Amino acid sequence: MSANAASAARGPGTDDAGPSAERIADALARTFALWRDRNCVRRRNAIAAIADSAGYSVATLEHSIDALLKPFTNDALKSIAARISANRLIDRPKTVGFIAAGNVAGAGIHEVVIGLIAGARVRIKTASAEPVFFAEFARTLAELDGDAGARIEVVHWGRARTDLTDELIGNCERVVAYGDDATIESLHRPNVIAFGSRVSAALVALNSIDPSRIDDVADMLARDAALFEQLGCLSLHQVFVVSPDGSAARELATRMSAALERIARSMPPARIPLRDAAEIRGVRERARWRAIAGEPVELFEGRDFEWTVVFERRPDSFKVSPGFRTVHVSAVRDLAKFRECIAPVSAQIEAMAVVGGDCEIEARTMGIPYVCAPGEMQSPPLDWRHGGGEFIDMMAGSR
Amino acid sequence: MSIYEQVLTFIHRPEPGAFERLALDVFRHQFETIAMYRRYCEGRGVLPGAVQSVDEVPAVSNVAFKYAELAIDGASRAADAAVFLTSGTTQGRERRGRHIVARPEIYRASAIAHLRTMLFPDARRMAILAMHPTADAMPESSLSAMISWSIEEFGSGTHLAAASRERVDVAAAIAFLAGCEARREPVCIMGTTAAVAALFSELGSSGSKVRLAAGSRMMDTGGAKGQAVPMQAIEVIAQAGETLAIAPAMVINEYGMTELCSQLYDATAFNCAGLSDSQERLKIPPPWMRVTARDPVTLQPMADGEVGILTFFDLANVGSVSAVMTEDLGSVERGRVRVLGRAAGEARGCALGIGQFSATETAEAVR
Repeated sequence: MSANAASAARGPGTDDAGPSAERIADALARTFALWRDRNCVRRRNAIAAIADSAGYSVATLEHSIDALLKPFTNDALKSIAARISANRLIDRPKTVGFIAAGNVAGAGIHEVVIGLIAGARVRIKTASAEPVFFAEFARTLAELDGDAGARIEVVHWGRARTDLTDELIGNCERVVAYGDDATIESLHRPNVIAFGSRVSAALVALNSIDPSRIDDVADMLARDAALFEQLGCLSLHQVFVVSPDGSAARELATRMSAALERIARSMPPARIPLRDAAEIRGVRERARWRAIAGEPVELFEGRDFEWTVVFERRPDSFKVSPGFRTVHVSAVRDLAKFRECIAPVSAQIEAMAVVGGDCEIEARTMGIPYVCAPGEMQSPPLDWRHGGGEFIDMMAGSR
Repeated sequence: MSIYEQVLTFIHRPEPGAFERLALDVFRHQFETIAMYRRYCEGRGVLPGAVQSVDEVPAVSNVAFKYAELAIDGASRAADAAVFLTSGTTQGRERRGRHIVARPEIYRASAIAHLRTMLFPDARRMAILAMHPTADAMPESSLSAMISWSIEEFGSGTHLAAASRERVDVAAAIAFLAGCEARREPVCIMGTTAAVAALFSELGSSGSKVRLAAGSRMMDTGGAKGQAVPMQAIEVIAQAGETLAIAPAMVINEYGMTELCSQLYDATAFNCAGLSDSQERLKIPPPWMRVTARDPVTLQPMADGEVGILTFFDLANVGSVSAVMTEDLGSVERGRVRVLGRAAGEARGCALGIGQFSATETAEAVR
């Protein structure tokens, strides 16, 4: 495509024309292809650095990054480029800032990629807890295509430098901010699109699937809980199992426990910070004493806090997990009971893994941004309507 | 001598060298007489014969009191037993913990003896202003019991309970304090931090100041609980001085919980010789209580000064369970305790954390 065509594709009003959407998509596709290879030096260095600073095992981080990068295929990138080119949005922002969160390496990559393909200059302010991923990724992009790489800048400063954060917000047409609700509140400005605190869950109707698949489902859900040590908005907190008498749910809890035990060998758990460990202790003791007192609760626990599964036969609410492979498995007699339990957080559910019965219909009816199969929770597609879709609609237009 | 009498004797005449042996006897008694506790210990593979030190005694989480009857068998039906309830949550979703105290006189002895050391070391009787309901109005509150015992033990006969279940009567409290001021009579103010914060707020907004007589003092407890904007300890001390003329060393924060019959108090220049107002405040347990900070994963005691989950062995809990693990973090330095507050996970970025979701569940056990 010629420069003129590229400019035309971006629509009128563009005065900072960089490479075309297609060329950026191509450069990104090559970057992702490199990064999907575990031998990629920059990826390897990034993973080593993040594992060291965050206390993750390298193996867990390798699997987590694999899952994160999986959807960024050549075809998916071309497809989003085509969508962007087809939707000639005149008010697309030309500069987009990102204020990244540090809980999950690479969180925000979907929006960064869409921003770049949509022709924006992208400036990413990384978190103190994780300043590595985007810096290394941007360097790889620049090495493969200097013009594409010039569209992205990765910067870092501490939370205390609010003057620099204000400057970033002031200098960008749009800013995408990730973080907990307090952080988001502090960044509230008219041009800031906020991705605040979210959780994810699973809804399973085991009775409607082949019994031979139960172990697969348990394995995949356990993997969803283990990736990124369960610290992201896509991480699995609670599994609801439609199980009128609770037996199928207990079976799944048992098998998930076994799966988490196996995963602990192949993906050794992270070093758990003291406060998080104390929260896990609280979850365990609450479940333990409810069980001792005769309540319909069962605690499955790995040694040294490697994993925890709390099975509840009659749940009454959603249970937010402290992370680090701590999962609640809850029997619900029907979808009405599921709706009742999830109501307090229904607006904060980002992803839901579904299996069998009407679970997928239920999740889609709820308007959950990402509905997927077990094992895919950390791999939302490039056109994921993250946080409801405001950003992707603004940058890429409708499908 | 029964185990109860042994504990009572220890409270009246503590012998530090005898603590360990008595603690192990108490543990054995509790293992034998509390079915739920026995089940818990057996579940952890711990039998009394194998326990060689108090640090090896299995501690129950304070949340256990919500779900299990952790008192010697039959205690809840005993005529003279007292039942104290945790204060629950603002939205009432969580059930309340129940501490069944089979021998309230031991609780009283423990509370009074340490209050005498920490809040009334000058052995002075004085007017008492209760900013929390007294036991007659709120029999299920352990704080109410303690305040009523204080009025009996340390009061001069002039006292006011300026709070009901529904509200704190700040106007009545100020009128009472003004009366004490006029008579130059020292007063001890006792209540929750939220209640004294309301008192400060009213005094501040009305611009009035009460200059209490020298020797006046304040005991607040409960920390952030019940406050929309939590008042920090340093602010309580400053406000007490500014609005009531209470000296910093006489403002003493208590750390206690319904599940424990003993309490900890700030060490200050008033109750600990050699301390100054500028030193960081640590809390002092009574001699019949052992405090450790535990590793949340292994439950092993941390080294002196290292942070862990605060865990108590309270001899005064002889009729229930003495080894209680809280949900608070803190450290222990040469027997003194730094309380850091409720454990809450690290910031989670875009992921929802427990603390954000269940703010109503925080600090429910601390009264």
